[in-house]
Amino acid sequence: MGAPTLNCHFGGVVITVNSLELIGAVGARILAEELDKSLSNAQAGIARYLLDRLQKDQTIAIVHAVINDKELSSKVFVAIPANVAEGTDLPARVVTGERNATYFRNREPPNGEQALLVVNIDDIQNVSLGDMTRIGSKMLTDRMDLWVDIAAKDLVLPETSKEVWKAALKGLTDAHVFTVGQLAKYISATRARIQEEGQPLQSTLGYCLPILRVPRDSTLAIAEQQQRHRSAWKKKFEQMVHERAPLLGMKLLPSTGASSKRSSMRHKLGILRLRRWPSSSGRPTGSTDSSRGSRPKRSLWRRRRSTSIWIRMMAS
Amino acid sequence: MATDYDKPAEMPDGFEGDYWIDEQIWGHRLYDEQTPWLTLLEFLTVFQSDPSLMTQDNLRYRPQRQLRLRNVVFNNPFFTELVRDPPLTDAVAWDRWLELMKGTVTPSNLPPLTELKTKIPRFADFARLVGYLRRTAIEGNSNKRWSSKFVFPFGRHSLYEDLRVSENGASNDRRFFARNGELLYLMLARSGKADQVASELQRRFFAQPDPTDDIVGILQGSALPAEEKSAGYLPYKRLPEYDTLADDWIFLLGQRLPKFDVLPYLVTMTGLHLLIYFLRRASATAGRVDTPVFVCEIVGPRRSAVRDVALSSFESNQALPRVAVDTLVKSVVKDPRWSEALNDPEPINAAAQVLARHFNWPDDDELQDMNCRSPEHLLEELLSRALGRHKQHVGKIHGSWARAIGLSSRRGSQRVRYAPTDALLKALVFANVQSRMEFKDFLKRLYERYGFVIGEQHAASYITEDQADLEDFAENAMRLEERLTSLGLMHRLSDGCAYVELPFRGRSHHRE
Repeated sequence: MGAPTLNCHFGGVVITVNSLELIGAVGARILAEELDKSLSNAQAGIARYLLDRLQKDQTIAIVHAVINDKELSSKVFVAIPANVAEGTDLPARVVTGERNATYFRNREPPNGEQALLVVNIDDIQNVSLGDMTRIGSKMLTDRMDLWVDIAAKDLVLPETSKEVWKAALKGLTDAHVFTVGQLAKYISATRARIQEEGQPLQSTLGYCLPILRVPRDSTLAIAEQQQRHRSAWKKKFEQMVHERAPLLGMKLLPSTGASSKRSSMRHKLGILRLRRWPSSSGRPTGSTDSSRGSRPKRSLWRRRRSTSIWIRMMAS
Repeated sequence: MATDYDKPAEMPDGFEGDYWIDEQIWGHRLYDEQTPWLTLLEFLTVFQSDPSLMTQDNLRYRPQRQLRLRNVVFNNPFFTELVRDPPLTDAVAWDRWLELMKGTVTPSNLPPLTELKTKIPRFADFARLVGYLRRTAIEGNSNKRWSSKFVFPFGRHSLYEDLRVSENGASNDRRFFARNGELLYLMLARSGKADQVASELQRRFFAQPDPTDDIVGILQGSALPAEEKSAGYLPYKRLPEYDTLADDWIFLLGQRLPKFDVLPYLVTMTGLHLLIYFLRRASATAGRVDTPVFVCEIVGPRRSAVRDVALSSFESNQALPRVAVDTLVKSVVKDPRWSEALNDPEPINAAAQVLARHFNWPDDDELQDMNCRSPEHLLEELLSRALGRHKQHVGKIHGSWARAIGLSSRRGSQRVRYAPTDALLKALVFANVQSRMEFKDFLKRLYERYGFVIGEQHAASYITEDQADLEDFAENAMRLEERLTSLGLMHRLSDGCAYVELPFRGRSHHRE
C-alpha cells in the first residue's frame, strides 16, 4: 500500500504503525459487513455505498484496502473522482471523470458487480445522496470493536484484554468526541507500545493519551470487576477529559504572563516566609537570608521544592 | 489621508496616563464596562454635537446633559407612593409630587419642575409617560446609578452624556461613557465613507423630529449650556476595519426597517467590529501573520468536536491581547538606545529614560521608590505592572463584549466558547443580505469579512490537524441552516440551492 507510514511524536509517544492503514482496514471491514447484510436479502438490488466527507488520505486508504481485498473488490465497483485520486497511486480503473457522486446514484455497475462505492467530499450533494449507505466518520468511530479486532491481530494479547480494550475505547468515545484520525493514531500507538515494549494494556492506554490532547497518565487503571464495563471507562475518561485536558490549554498563555505570575508568587512566598519563620530576635528577616549558606531542614526543603514544581507547571 | 496603518503610533501631547502601552495598541481608550449599547449612545451624543463626521483628529464636542429629564425619569421613586394613596385630583397629585421631589432633585440649579404642571395638566398622563420612558430605557433594569441610565435614543432630546451627580454639580467621571463611542466616531470619520454614514444617520434619525422625542424634550425643558470636551485618541489613521464598519452601517441604515428597529442591529454589528478591531490590532502587535478567526459552534443537541475547536479558538483569542502587551514591552530591547543604556555608566537611569520615551514610565519618584537592581529588572517590573493594569479592564474586553453581542456562550458547557445567539445571527443576515444570498456565499462572506469559521470550507486547517472531522463542520453548517430556517431567514430549494433570505423584499441600497 502506498500510504506513507506515520512516524509522529505526541508527547513522547512515537507512532510507528500506519494509522491510515488501520482506518483503511476498518473502513473495508465495515463495507464488507454492510455488503453481507445487503446480499442476504435477495430482492435488495444493487447496494450503493458512499465514503462520506472523510479526509482525502483517509478516503484513499479505505479505497486501497477495498481494492486490495480480492473478495471484496470482485463484488464492488469503485468510482473515485479524478480530483480526489490526483496525486495518489490508485489504479486508473477506479478513477472516474464524474465529479459528482450523484451521477452514480441510479446507475448499474458496468461489469455486473453487486455494489457501488462512490465518494462525496463536500456538503453540496448531501441531500441528493440521502438514500445511499454512508460510511463516514460517525460510522467509523461507532465501531470500536472492529478497530480493536484489527489492531489486536498478531498481538499476543489474551481474549479478556481485547474485551477490556473494546470497553475502554467505547467508554472513551462515549465520554468525548474524537476525530477518526486521532483515534486511529491513538489505537496504533497503543498497539505499537504493547507489541514493541510488552507494556500492559491499561497503562498503555493512559500513556498514549497525549495523542488525544489529554495529559498522560501511566497509572490509568480500572478495578478488575469493572474493566469490561464501558460505563466505568466512560466515567474515568470523562474525568480526565474535563478536568485534566484544559490544563494543556494553559500553554496558550504568554510566557511573560507566567513569568510575572512566577515573580508575583515568589513575592507572596517571601511574605509567607517572613510571617512563618521569624528570626530568633522576633524581627522578620529576608527570605533569602534563611536559606543562604546551608540547606534548609528537609521538611522545609520539600515544601519549597513542591512549590517550585507548581511554579514550573504554571509557567510551562 | 495617510495610509500609515502599520506605523507605530506616537504618544499624543498631554497624555496623562500612567503607562503608554494599552493606549499605544488600541487607543485611548477601549473599556470593558462600556457595553455596545452605551458605546452607540456615546457615539450619538458626539454625532449630535458634530454631525459632519469629518473631524479625524483633535475632535472636540459639546454633549448635552439633560439633567431635569434624568431626574424626572430615573431619580423619581415617588409614583408608587402617589398611586398607593386614594385617588387624588390632578392639582393635588402635582403639588404632592413637586413637594416630594424638592429634596431629591440634584443638582439644585435645574429649570423648575413646576412648568411641567402647565405642559402636562393630567398627572396620570405624566406618570404613564415616565413609566413608558423607564420601560424603554437602555439597560433599564441595571442597578447603575440614576445618572448613568439612559432613555431610548428617540432623537436629539434623548441624547446625553453619562455623569456623576452631586449636590454641588455634575461631572463626567468616564465610568460608563469611557470614550468607546468617541473612538467609534473617529473610526467612522476615518473610513472612506464618512459622508455617506453621516447623511444616512441624518436622514434616518435627525431629519424628521420624532413625536416621542418631542415629549422627552418637554420633560427636559430648556437645555443647559454644555461644556466642551476633547475626544479620545485613535492611533491608526486608516485601517481596513474602519471601512468594513462603515460599509455595514450604511447597509443597515439603508434597510427597509423602522428606524428604531435598526438600532439593535447597529449595536450588535458595532460591538462585533470593535471586537475585530481589538483582536486584529493585538494580533498585528504580537507579530502574528494569521488574522484572528472565530470558530463558532452552532449549538446542537449533542456535543461535537467543533465545540472543542471553538473553545480553543476563544481561549487563543482571549490570550492574544496579553501577548500583544508582552511583545510591545519587550520590543524596546530592539531600540539601539536600549543597548546604549545598558553600557551607560548609570544604566538604570539611562534605561528608565528609554522606557519613559516609549511607554511614559517611570517618572523620577517611581524610579526612586522601586530600588531597582538592573535595567532588566526595570523592564520586568514594567511588564509586570503593564500586565497587571491590562488585566483589570482592557484584558476583559474580549470576554465581555463577545458575551454582550451574543457571540460567546457557556451553554451546555462549563467553559466559554464562540456559539452565536439568534440575535447575532439575525444582525449578520440584516447587515449582509440584500434580498437573498446563497448559503455557501453567506458562509464565505462571514469568513472573509468577520473571520467566522462555521462550515467545512473554511475549516481545512482544523480538519487536517485532526481537531475535527470534515463531517463535524458540515453538520455545524447544517445546524446553522436549521437555525436560520427556524428564524424565517432561510429557504432550501434543493441541493446547492439554499438561500439566506430577508423576510421582506426590496431595498433602497445595494451591497457592492
